[in-house]
Amino acid sequence: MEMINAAPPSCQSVFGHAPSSLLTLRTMTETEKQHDISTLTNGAMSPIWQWIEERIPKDTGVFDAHAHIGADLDGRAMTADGMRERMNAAHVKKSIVFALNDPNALEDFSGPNDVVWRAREEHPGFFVPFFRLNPHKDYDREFERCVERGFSGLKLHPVSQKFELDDERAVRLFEMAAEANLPVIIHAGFGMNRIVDALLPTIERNPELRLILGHAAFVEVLQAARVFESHPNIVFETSVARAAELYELFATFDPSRICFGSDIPYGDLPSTLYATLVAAEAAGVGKEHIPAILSENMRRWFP
Amino acid sequence: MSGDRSMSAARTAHLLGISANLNMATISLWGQSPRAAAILGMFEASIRWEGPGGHDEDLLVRLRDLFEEAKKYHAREDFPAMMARLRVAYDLVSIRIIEISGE
Repeated sequence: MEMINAAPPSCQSVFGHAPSSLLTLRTMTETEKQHDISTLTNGAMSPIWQWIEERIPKDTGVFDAHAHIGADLDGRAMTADGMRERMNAAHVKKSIVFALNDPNALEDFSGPNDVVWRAREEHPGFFVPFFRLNPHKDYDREFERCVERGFSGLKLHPVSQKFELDDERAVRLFEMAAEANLPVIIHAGFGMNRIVDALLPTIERNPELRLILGHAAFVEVLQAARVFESHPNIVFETSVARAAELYELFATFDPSRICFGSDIPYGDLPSTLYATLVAAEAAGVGKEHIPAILSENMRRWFP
Repeated sequence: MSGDRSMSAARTAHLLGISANLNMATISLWGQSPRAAAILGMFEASIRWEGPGGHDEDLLVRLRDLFEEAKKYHAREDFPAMMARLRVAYDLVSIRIIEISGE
């Protein structure tokens, strides 16, 4: 998601005065908070989490198609170990991971891309590494380096890197990815304006391009579903889209082309799994499709 | 409008108000708006009392529980735990509105 140029979310007392029963709670350290992921599934979240767990495929587990490792300009961060803890707690077996809008990205994101690659090496089999680039910068060398290294895909973020999806430098990257048979995930959520019209010419010229629409293109979800229906290499990824938007998607689009994502550290696994599952169920998606949405659809590309 | 339709419309209107307040509150928290406290207070007020006909009390109970915990985690500076509860609360309201629309 990435809040551009925003300071880390603070926790000033926006709720006003805490009840006296809460005042006995001591403030947790940053390290304790990072590791206390039970707070995402306990208390009032407990029945929600139980409902989710009943729907998770026991054999394949979950495939998370959208997560970050590294640090962001806005203060968010996630380590490979932190990701693994969250994955284990939520029955996630594999995650696509890529860099955040890293303050150390410099020209070509090579440093943050190296962090992602190290995560893949330190946790073999758990992470599907994508590399990130800035279309405004000279990207050819880093593109070639990452392809040769074995990265599994490319991440582009039009809001953070301030480009349009039909910018000629971005279009060239899409075409390079298509030629390299490399899937591309694009941020198509918070802060976006033009998605469908901007992407369509590139998709029509490059039907082999495999494209993951991050956050389900929620600002234009219905039009995206209509227009991209006839383009089988376009899939929708659900992270941090709200249940109402996902309902629109599930009610109108082939579930074999919808995949789950969390957007960690902006999203979390319990609430994003809930949005995906409750929307699918409300839209009448059959239970037989749930393992595909949570896992199998992405495993077709990343076994 | 018939009695049933009138009741469904009133419930929808009530829940749309809750949804709007919660949506504004969530965005305010993300953006660190100085008005976040006031908007969260609006959300809290909107779930405090019974809705039309009492039909959605089960939902309101869940919203109150999630919000109380969100407050607790906010006080502990645990942003993810707070936001998870607010996201789920928002989706619970949305899905109920969608369900009512099909009645």
